[in-house]
Amino acid sequence: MSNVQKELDSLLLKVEQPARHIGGELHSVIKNPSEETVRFAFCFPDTYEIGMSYTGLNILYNILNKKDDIYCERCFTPARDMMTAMEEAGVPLFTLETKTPLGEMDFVGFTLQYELSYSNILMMMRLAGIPLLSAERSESDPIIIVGGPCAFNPEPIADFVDVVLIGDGEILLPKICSIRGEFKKQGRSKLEFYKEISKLQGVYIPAFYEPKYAEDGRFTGYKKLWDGAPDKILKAIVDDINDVEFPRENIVPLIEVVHDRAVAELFRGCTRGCRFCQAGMIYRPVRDRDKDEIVDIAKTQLENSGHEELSLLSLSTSDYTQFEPLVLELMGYCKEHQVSLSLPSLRLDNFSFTIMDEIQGVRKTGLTFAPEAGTQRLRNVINKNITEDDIFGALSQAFDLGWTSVKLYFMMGLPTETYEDLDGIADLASRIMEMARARNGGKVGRYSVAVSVSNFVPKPYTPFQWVRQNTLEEFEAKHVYLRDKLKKIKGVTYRYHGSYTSVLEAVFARGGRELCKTMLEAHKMGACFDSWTEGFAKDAWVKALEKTGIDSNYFAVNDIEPGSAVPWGLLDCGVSDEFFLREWRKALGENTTPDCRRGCNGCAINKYTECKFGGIYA
Amino acid sequence: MRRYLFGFYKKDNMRFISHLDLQRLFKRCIKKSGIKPAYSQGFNPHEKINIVHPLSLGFETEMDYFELDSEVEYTPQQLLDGMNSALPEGIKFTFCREVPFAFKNSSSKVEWSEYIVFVPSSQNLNAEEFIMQDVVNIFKRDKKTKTMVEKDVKNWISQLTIVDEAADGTMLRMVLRSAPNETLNPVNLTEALCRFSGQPFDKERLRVCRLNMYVVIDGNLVALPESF
Repeated sequence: MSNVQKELDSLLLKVEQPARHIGGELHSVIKNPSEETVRFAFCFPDTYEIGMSYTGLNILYNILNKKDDIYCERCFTPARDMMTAMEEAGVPLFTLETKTPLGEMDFVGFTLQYELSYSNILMMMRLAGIPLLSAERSESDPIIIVGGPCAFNPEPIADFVDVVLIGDGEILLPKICSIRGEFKKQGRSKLEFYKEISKLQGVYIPAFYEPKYAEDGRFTGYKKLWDGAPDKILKAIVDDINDVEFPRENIVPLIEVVHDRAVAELFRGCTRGCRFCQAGMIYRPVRDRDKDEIVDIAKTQLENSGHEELSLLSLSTSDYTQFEPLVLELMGYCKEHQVSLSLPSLRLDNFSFTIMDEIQGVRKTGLTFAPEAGTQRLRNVINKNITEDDIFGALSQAFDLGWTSVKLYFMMGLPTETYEDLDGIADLASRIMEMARARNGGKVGRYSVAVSVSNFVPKPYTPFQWVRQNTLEEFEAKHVYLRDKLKKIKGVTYRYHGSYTSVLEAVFARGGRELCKTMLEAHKMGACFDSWTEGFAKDAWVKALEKTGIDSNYFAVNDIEPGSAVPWGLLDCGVSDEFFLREWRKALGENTTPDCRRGCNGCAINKYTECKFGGIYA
Repeated sequence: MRRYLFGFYKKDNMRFISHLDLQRLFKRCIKKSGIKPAYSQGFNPHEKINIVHPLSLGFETEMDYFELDSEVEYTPQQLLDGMNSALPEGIKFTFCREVPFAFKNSSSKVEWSEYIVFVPSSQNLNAEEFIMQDVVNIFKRDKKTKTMVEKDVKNWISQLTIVDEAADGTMLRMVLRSAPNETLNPVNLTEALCRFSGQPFDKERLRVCRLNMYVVIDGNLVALPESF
């Protein structure tokens, strides 16, 4: 029994949900690592329940553990009570599989899914006793490696990280682990290793570059510290996702997690081109998985796990090329085996309604629309192709079939937004309720409309990357305005996000390396679990920004001149800045861009890989 | 309708799996193995299964019981193979047999549970005098008022003996009341015993393992499977 395990026995009786820390789930992998095994800790910087719901973890865990000379284990952020207990007992943060302290790993890898999880990364490193700054780590410390969507601008955490991977990880990550294994055997240094892997597409070593600033403090670009470092880092691309294995033996959590279900990925990427959406840009081009493969993945996973729910994963389910035959086939299987099928982000056309009516039967859940903006004008600006006719047409059908609750998602603070657009949100909600009342003898009855509004955060690698965010005050004033308007409409509820966290998100989404010292300050003041309402320590962040002389407005509420240096300028997602600029100008002219499938829009991704879907419906 | 009774153990780290999570785990085993359970009627049909006297979080067990109702006739081996096919290390079904179907499940039959409790860094526990008292008081959390209340549990103790005493602690064996609304938690009793003996009590380092569950027949304790 490892030392950690012995201590753990007494710790676990003190904390809530002790099973978060025990591992041992069905399909978790136990290996007997040797000196030569490359040991990788896959860390999700949030609680077990959230991290275990992330499909990317299962994909990479499966691929890495298929290799005999690599052992991938898992680690999550312990809840506050466990942190305290561990620090009191002197137990370092450990992997779930073998209870090995993270400090003994070759790699400690963090997936960057949302900016507000950054503080958890520092907390986990501290709990593991790993020096936070890359420059302070020795040859014997683990290599800190990060990936995921936020890795496309890793600058705000660059000082803490050794290796950044951008793009698809299925081929790149095992390759890097193998090279590390070779170098370890040969006794070669970390620096030699970084130099070697920096030749690979998708690898960024922050320490090879230093940000430059003008006299007024403005960021002006990067200076290379090693001549051999590449000028620009293009993301890693898996040309055909059928070539990389999708897991069929997913880890089955012993406790209830957010998404407790079998899951099969339909395709990667999206052709819709919504201008605010980073995922729709950085995961280009669209790559389908074969239908028969998806069916096999789904069935095998269900057989292997005994799950009661199956979900299909993609950015826009209905856009899957063989959507109808796939869904009909899976629906038959699920019905026969008493498995519930969940189809997120459906476009509401006739086929979808037939399917949903079939799946949900008499117990209907709410119906969700994401118009994102309140007027057609603003929807044109953001290129969200959903019209009021679409919504009312779908609703009329939905009410006929027995749905009674409608959820509407909007964003606030979008570029060019005015109060007229907010009136549009209230108007839409009010007309939906009118439609419902008309069917119910003028009464509200069971009908309800839930309006949920999030704050717009400008993200790098989108046509809106240069545009300012609303100020805190602007957000607050708009929320009050809309709340008061919606309060007057019977049957409508209003929910919105805290505005300060949205400002922080923008700061970290577009921020530069100077934010590392802010991160460190906030960490020292206890920042952790910022994405949790009860965890968010606003004061720590306000003070940390102030102490390190960072004006959050500089990164968030600031228009950037297109063409000027940006902190993420070294990294390339394959979509050209010319495309983003063209889209930005079209947005200002309130002009839409059609779905790529109706004609190639020239985003330039096909320079690097085959884009199979551009113009297929032209 | 048929009823199948299973015995299972749950050890080591699996003692941190709660009753609800264990139920979900067993349902996944049923689903994965293709065993067809009976379902309750109604809007939200659910499997007719029962875990007899759920164990507290943190306790281990050598022999706990699980019941499954089904219209289908299975051999015990079929059921064991199926149910054991999707379990994590540390939980395993060790026997299965068909028992006569009854309206009530076995939770209403069981009256006593036997436990082994290891009390670390405690010696000289005075178990004999402790149970000879006229009144054996323990502190117990009152579910309604959420406060600790004192309660006499003398009638809820069938046996309490010291099995082994060593430098690193004391091993106790106890048979305690384990019936609906009359359940004596071995942790509460051990705490009272430590207090009585003037010994320290460290709840977090206690190890508790249930050995079996019993039904009273003609004044004798009979293990649940033998009581049918």
